[in-house]
This record gives sequence, structure tokens and C-alpha cells, in this order.
Amino acid sequence: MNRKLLIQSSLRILLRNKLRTLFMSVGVMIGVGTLIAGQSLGAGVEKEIKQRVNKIFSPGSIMLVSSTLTYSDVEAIESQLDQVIASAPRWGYAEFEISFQGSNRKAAVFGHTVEGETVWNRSVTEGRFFTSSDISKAARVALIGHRLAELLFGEGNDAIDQEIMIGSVPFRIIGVLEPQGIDPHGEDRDEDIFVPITTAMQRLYKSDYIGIAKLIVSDIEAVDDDADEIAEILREEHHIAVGEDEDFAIYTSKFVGRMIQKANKVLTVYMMVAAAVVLLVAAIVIASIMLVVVRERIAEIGLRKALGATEQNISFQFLAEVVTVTLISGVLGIGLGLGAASLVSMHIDMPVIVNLNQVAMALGAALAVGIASGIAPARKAARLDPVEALR
Amino acid sequence: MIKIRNISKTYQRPGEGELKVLDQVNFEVERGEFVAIVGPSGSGKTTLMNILGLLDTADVGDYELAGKSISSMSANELAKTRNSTIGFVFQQFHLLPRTTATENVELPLVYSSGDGGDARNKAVKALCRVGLEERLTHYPSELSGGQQQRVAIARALINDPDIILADEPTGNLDQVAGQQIIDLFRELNEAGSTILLITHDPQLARQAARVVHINDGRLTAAAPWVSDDGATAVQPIRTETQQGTPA
Repeated sequence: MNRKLLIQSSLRILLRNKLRTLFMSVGVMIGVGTLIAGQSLGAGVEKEIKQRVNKIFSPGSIMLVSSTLTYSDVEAIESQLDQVIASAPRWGYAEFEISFQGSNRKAAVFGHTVEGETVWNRSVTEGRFFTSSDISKAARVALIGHRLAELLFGEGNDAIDQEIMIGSVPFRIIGVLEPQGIDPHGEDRDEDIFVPITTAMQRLYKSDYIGIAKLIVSDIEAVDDDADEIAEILREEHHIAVGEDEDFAIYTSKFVGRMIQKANKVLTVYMMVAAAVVLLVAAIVIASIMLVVVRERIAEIGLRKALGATEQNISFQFLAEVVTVTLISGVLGIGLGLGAASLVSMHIDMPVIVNLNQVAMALGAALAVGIASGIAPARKAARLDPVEALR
Repeated sequence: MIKIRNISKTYQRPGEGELKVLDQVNFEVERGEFVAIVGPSGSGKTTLMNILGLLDTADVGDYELAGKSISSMSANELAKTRNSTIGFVFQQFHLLPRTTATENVELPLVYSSGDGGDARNKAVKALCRVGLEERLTHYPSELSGGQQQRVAIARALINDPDIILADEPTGNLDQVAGQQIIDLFRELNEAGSTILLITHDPQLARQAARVVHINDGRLTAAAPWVSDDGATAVQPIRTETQQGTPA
């Protein structure tokens, strides 16, 4: 058989039956488009969320959360575990009434140490961060998010050295915090206020407990093992007997990474299931169109057999016609899916990430639909009796 | 070229018992002959044509085509033999719609072992042989019936077949166009082609060099309804007639 001539003639037939070819391709285009859009958006969303979470949960970081966590707990961990290279407790985050010259706003107030600047990964763009003397003296100084500064002092006005009231305590602004945007909970982190942790404990919260501490360990990969050791230390510090419930929770960067992946996987799986359903319907549509086509082209099949086509030649031709349609539709579907994904990504401000695996998978799906839907019509055509077909 | 011995074929008709379509048929065609098989509809001539064209098989009997016995051939070998040995011409032309004359003529080359590189040239040459050099890129719908049948003949010629099997080739044509097709066959025969014409029309058959009659599944040398001077003595049953009987 001369495949080149056969494929040429198949392409001619497809092009000369444009409407039918279009009907056959729409389903595959939408299915493959959904597949590729879901995957590229999913990968983009995962990357973006990871990046945002990394600002707080940088690789190798461990978060301790407990209503009974104390400063001395953190000191005990640091002194017993060499792997811990930095630690920063934080008090927060209750909202306080912030007032400036008669205007009032509510804002989340966090207590930070000197190490907070690096460990919590947030510095200042104006003024300075806390010094150790701010901490030891429990100084009434504060850092302010740039959006809150704008709301309080007006746009373009200098925030440094302004006096504000947090609750009933006067504070002096010494710096403007680095912009951070909206966090995954939907809170605008640019409306935060930072004060020295000692000041927060003594003057605002009036408590010995610090609430949250963040630790950085030396080996990013060992972060989960380190978390187990920290749990042991905390159980001892908090006098928790074996079998008793812990009064603290420990989150590692790896744990959070896994959670994001899991959540994102659910999204991606939903999209893939939707794509699979569309592709299945497409396959059924194509198969039924092709069965009609076989009936319509019965004389052509009989003729081809009379002219020397074998059963294999005939089934190859019909399979090739279907697979050609689905593969071309697959390529168009990839373009369609990427276009849709880019539109959505512009809307939700997330990147689109395409890789070769996704493209290969999409084309594989198109090929599979072609073979699955073409095989029955192709066999039917191949088995036609030429005498009957030519009558 | 063609040699069949004691070919019989029986169909089972539901509720009506057996129907013997071909009964102990013996028949030979030599290379370069122009033979007509003539018989009324229901005489078994189409079944004979299908068996000769390797589209159907006989229940019993031997068939030798171009020196090879076909009884031992597999389905794929039969297909290959059809492609290289036989050129078919059908009553309904069987051209692919929305496909140019040249592309239609190329079709058998799709199933040939050659590389098909000069397919276009071969097709054009075949179309020139049937006098359609001006209609190469026309679609069947743009051609007259006679022209469409010429395209079909060009298609039958393209693989240089050992024999051309023409089943009622003028059945869908008016008398003038039909005569032109028969003239074309005579020309091709004079140039060396072996041609087997199957028809219900004795007048048409008489233009072949040799006429064989088929009736009730049996071949006879002389027709029961044609007298010596060629005039129709007994009107055969004619369900497919489009041509008037010449007086």
C-alpha cells in the first residue's frame, strides 16, 4: 500500500467534508483544551501560592503555635537543638483600635523581636527595624504597613516620627514595613503594625505567653525530623505525660508544601475528570458520525476493495482519517486551552505554566480518542462484502 | 488468460430454498481477446463477473487467472491480484465524488506496491488514452455520463491490467455515449488489451469479437433468442433497459 497517496486522499476527503470534520473535532478541541487549561493553570496556581507562602514559610522553617507558649520555651529549644539557626517569637494578632489625630482604624498588632526582620522575612522600606535596646526597654515604638500609613496620615505624608495611639498607649512610628500584599487568608498585610514583643506583652496584651514562634533550621530537608525533636522538648517544658494530648501545634515548611500540593491536586483532578468526560462524549460522537460515514461511503469502500484494497488497508484508512482529525483537533485544543488559561490567569493574577509533559499528555489523549472512536467504524468498513457494497 | 472449470454457485434464499446461480460453467478467455458474455438479468452473469473479478468465490470448480490458480490464494493475495491483474468498469461508474478525474484515476495506485512517485503522470497518461486530456481537474459532477465512464476506464487501465472486466458499462448511458464507450473498448482491444464485456444487450454484445451466452446459470455458444441474421426473435426479460432495440 502506498501510505502517502492514501493519506493525501484521506486529507482531501476530510477537507471536502468540512462541516462533518468540524463536528468531529469540536469535542476533542474542548476536551483537550480543558485538560491543558486545567493543568497549566493548576501548575501556575501552585507555583504562585508556594511563592507567597514561602515568604512566611520559607524552606527550613518551623512554626510553633500554642496559647501557652512562652519565651523560655523558645530559649530551651534553641539551647538544646544545634540545628536551630534562628528563632523569632511573635505576639499577635489581635486587632486594636489605632487612632491618630481623631481618626480611628482597626489594625492587627504583632509583637516582634530583632530577629523578626530576617526570620519572619519582613524588613522596612523607610526608617529602621527594632534594635535590641527597643526590646529590652520595651520601647513604645512601632513599624507600620504602608497602606495603613496612607490611610492614617494621608497619601505622600511622612509616617516616620508620627505619634499614634494603640488602644490607650501612645507609640512613635520608626519605620514603614515592606509591602507584602494580601495573604492566603485574604488579610491585607500592608495594614499591619509591628511593635517590640516585650512592649506588646507588657503594655498591650498584658500576658506572659507569646502565641507563635518561628524557627529556622540548618537542613531544609530534615525539617520534619527537627519538628519531632522540638515536640519532645515542648512536651517536657509543658510537663505533658506520655499519652496526654499536646497543647501546641508544630507546622513545618514541608508540611505546608504538602498541604498546598494536596489542595491543588484536588483542583487539577476535578479539571481532569471534566476533561475526561468531555473526551468520552467526543469519542462517542465521533464513533457515531463515523459509523454513518461508513454507511454513506459503502460504495467507495466496495470500489476500493475491488481496486485491490485489503481489509487492513480499509481499516487503516478509516482509522487514519479519524486519528488525523483528533490529532489536529488536539493541537488546536492545546492552543484553545492555553488561550483560555491565559485569560483566566490575567483575571486572577496567577501565572500559566506549560510543560512538555502536559502537551504530550494532551496529544496522547487526542490520539486515544481517535483510536477508541475509530476502531469500530474501521472494522465495520473493512469487513464489508465488496459485492454487497458495489450493488 | 482466464480458465474456469466446472464452476457452480448456489445461494440459499430464506423460505424459498436453494437457487443455483451458476451450474457447471466452463469458460476460457485468451490473451488479447474481446469477449462478451450476454444474458438477461437473473441469468447469473453478475455472479460470474464477481467470481471472475475475485470479488466472490465459487462453491466448486477451478479458476486459473493469468496462469495462477486462485483457489489457494488468501484474502490479501486476492486483493493484490485484483489490483495488479484486473481493471474493473462498472455500470454506475463508481467514481469518488468531490474528487478530480486525475485523483480518481490514481486510486488503484494507492494499493499498488510501487512508490507512487509518478502517480500523477500515469493518471494523466491514462486519461489521455481515453480522450479526456481536457478534463484532468474536473470533478465527476462536472462531467457527462460518457465522460465519467471514460474516467472509470482510465482508472481500470492505470495498472496495465491483464484483463478489463466491464459489467454493463453502457447501462447508464444514452445510445451515442454507450456506442462511444464500446468503440473505446474496441480501440483498447486493438492496442492489445484483453476485454471481457458483460451485458444484457445482444446488440451491444455482437460488437465483441466473440459472444458467449448465459442463461439460467449455464453458458451456451448461441443465444436462444437471436436468429442467424442478428434480429431479435424472442424478447428477453429486460428490467434494466435504457436503450431502444434497433429495428
